[in-house]
Amino acid sequence: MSSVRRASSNTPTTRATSSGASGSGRNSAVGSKWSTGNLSGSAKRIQKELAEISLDPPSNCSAGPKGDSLYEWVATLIGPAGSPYQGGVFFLDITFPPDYPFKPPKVVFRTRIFHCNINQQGHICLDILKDNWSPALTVSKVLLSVCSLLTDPNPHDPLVGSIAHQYLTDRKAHDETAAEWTRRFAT
Amino acid sequence: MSLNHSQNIETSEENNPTETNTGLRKRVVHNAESSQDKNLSCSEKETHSSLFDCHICFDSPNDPVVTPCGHLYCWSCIYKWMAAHPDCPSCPLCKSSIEKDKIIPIYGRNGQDQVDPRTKVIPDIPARPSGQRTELPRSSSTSQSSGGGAFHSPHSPFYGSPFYPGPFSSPVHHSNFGPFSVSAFGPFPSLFGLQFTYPPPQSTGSVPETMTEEQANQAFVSRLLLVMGLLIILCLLFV
Repeated sequence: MSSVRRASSNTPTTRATSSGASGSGRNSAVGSKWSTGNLSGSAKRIQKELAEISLDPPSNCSAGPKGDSLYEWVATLIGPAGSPYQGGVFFLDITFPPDYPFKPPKVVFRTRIFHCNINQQGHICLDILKDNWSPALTVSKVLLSVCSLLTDPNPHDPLVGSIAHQYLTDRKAHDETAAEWTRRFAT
Repeated sequence: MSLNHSQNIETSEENNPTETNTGLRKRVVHNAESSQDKNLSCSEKETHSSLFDCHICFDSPNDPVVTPCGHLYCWSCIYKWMAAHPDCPSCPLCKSSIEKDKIIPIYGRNGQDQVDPRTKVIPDIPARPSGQRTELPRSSSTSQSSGGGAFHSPHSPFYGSPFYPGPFSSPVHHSNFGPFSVSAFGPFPSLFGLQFTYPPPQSTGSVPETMTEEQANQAFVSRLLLVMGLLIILCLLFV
């Protein structure tokens, strides 16, 4: 858990531009250089991750390919105990870029969630999915990090300002709304 | 914790069968299982023997290199990562700052590449940096070459600096004590041999010659005295 770090220093402008397509940052030009030659390499790496996540699945999430494509995955995440998301099952779409793992996967919530770092479209504000991505990270580590984001939201670097404001000013009301949304959309 | 969660899934599925999520969830579970079946057999061995895998491609490293922080990568993998972050390249695992020049290549005995990796041409990837080799210090290399065995090495401090150059000991001193030391330190002939080649050879050569001449003279005198003594005794007996 300690190796996975959460967003704390993203500026609002960075979020605004990169929330739609995470990973399309400064290294896209460099990354595209290998995109054709690296295709088999990325597929191999994704296959290894799939084997790893199947053999030793994380305790509260699962992930696997959506269909035939190895680059399109669906993940499930169970709302962490002790959080207002407890009891909910959240679905996420994971899309791997062709030059994975040199660029981060795109992770988007498909289940609606009341969280200050996750917007209505399901985009997640998480530094390891943007500038702090490392090719040593895996899908299971990313999911673990998202899970920890559900337990500890980061209201000082929000994607939805109103939810962050409520989290800071009226925590009880925030938790009630979050639990209500969990009941409505994630169960 | 995981038990509770799994129970939650089951109950939620039973309570809300009409939810749109449920169908998708079943599909995901099915997909995960089928993909697990497909990949489990082929990759089970690989995941168990992954101690020395590249941290980027998760495969056995091709042209292995190690960062100063000790993390193993393929040269092509780490180069691509460094090229993607030219301003401040960092180790993908520990975020330690890395430089191309400080990356160390690893040459295994039964490596995949018996060919010189520098001659290999990979498109867009430059040659792997070569290993750095420093010569051993001069003194230690000579002691290793002359010692020749474990028997001599513990004694080497005695025969090293104090006796070997001999700035304070004159050749006369050496020649005088030569026979003594050879007889006394019989078990160490090679070391003393090395030591006694150092004084000028003419001094050691001249000493045995003078010794034999003296001995010959002494023998001659002793024989003369013996003959004279015998003659005196005979004279005394017969007179």
